[in-house]
Amino acid sequence: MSAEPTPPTRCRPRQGSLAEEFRTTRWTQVSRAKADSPEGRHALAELCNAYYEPVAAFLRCDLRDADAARELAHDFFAHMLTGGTIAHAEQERGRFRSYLLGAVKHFLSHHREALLRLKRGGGVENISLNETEVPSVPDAGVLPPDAAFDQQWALTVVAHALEALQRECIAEGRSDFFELVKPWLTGDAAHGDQAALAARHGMNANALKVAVHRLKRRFRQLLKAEVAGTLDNPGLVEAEMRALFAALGG
Amino acid sequence: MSQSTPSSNACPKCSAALPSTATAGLCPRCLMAEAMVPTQVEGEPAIQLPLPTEQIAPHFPQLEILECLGRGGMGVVYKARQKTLNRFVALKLLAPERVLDPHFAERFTREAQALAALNHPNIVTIYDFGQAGGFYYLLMEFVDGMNLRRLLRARKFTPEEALAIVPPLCDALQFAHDRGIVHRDIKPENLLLDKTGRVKVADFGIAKILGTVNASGKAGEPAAPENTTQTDVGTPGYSAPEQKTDPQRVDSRADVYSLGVVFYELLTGERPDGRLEPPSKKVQIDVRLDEVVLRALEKDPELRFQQVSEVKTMVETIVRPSSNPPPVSPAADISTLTPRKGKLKDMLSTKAIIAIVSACVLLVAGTLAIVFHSTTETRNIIKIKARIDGKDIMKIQGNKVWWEHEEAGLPGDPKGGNQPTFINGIAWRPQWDGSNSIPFEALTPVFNPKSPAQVTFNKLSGRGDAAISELPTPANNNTLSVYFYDEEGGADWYELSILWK
Repeated sequence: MSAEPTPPTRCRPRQGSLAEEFRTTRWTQVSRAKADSPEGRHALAELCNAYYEPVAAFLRCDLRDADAARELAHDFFAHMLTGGTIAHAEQERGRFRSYLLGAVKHFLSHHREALLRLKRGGGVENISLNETEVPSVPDAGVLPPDAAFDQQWALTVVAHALEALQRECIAEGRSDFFELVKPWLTGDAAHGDQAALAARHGMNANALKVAVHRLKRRFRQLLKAEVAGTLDNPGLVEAEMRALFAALGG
Repeated sequence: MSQSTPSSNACPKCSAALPSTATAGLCPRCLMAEAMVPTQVEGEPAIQLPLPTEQIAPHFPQLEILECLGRGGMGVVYKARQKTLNRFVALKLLAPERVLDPHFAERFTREAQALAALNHPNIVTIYDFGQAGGFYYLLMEFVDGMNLRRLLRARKFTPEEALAIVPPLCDALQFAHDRGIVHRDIKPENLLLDKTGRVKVADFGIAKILGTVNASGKAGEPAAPENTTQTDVGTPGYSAPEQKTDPQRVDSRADVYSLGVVFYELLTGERPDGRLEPPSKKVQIDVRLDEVVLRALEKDPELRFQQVSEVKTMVETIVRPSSNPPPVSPAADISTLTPRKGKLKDMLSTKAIIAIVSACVLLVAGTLAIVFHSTTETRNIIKIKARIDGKDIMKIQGNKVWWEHEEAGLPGDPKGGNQPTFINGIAWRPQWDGSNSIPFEALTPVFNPKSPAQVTFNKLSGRGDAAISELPTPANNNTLSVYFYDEEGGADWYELSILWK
């Protein structure tokens, strides 16, 4: 607190959650949109962009070849976004996660046939086990591809929510606070004594407690929003979260 | 899972493999686990009563929740105001752990409807019932008075007072019995005496609603003691013997027994023990009353009064009316009233009951000032109205109130909007001196709670957060801290009240 009581800048109003802005599209919009509508395709493109990693993880697991996986992922998304597989698998429409997995498997099965035909025709491909760019999943070779997909999906969801939270804090000029406090997002016991931290940074201990509580609450909201964005029925958020948590369990 | 990639570490907390960058160095599994911890993080009501009123209020938009009146074995009661009708009501939230039966909801509705139909001047009326915020609730008549237990603790009743209370009690019980409803838990805590002198019976049939009465089960089979809870058998000391030994056979005569116990206690100041000494041996009363009390207390229901109305008839017969009743002044010293034949009927009038209640106030004003929850009496309360922009902390200590500011506009500062803070209606424009405001030093009553637990807090308005961030303890010189957080743009008015005992 300064000696001169000049009021600092006022708090800016929050313009709706940034996660919502980032993903204003929803799976509901895609699944109910007609295949050829520009809105539907745009929505799908956004979702695909956000959930690229799980597809890549699945393909890596299945093909055991990072380069081939990357290429195929690219082809798959290109195919999807040109309206290739919108009309696929009605029963999977409740969850974008199930839908996307079904779609990539479907695509893969067609591609295998093409690959086989190619191999028979000549041109041996070098299969490399050097995984030069493994973003996240530690050992893709051990998990079954479906599990790898789900695990990476869960990871992606959490990562997105965390990024959204960080963006919000930065927009409010509180990036330092975010860095300081983020370890508590994994639990109260995670990083020692809040009171000591508050004292070290000249913050009011109670104010810190309240602020940490709020940050955790906001994270939870963003996480739920992220998950809800992939569901047709937002009422199934809790069930989906449980499934994702199980997928992270390894 | 074998770890063959260089980027893998294991989370120290959950041993899951840690990804390298995706989640800012934090374990995603722990992040998710923590985010999935329900309810408490959201600030939704925990399934623990009593709750702070601001957590209840959102679930009852039609009510203004004022304060917690008390906690009983079955739940918590709050005083509230019905906004549309502008009247006080009592909101009873049933403690979820008391809901023992899977078919609770259905029975609750049926029973509550039956209770709601009990419309009698001596029965606390049920206005509404339902489910909200994870609780079952009852909305009831608010009785501005106190229960007989508190009166008994405050001082002994005279025989006249006891005899004045019993007949209306019988009326209430008979009214309910005629409609097939048995109370099952008559005791002084459930008997209220309001300021106009009227007796009111509360919590009718709650025991049945809570399913603690065995709906199925073979007749004649005693309930195993380890399977019963307190409400199964009523309240020890007040419940009829058959409530323990033969719960399926319990009927309206159980209420007669409990009434007998209360009657005995009102007359003698003690509950009947094994020896069952007749009341006339303990206090100076008409010996014919012994018969009434003892018959109500018969162990065998067949030997008791078969109807509650018979108790009333007997009492009124014994207390015969006189043709020249002496005037009873409300300020009369009760201790000078002695039982005299022919004068007792006057004692049974409403005037006498008013005398009882007001005498109680006069004689034991100190105790009752704490016990009464009346809006017309002064009590330990601070009402605060403040204009908040950003974050502020208000401190209260003794007769002083001051702001410790944190962020955005200062309360009371021209740059911060130039609005005063109102303390109990008095406008205060805090001058700022370094980091704190110059305190408001005229707080009455002086803030001196007996313990941190005796402080209650109600947020009445304000779009952001306001909460107690620190309770008064010796360590902080008995200073209460209230934290405000208004995160929207601009400022908003916040109103809250703090009560203490």
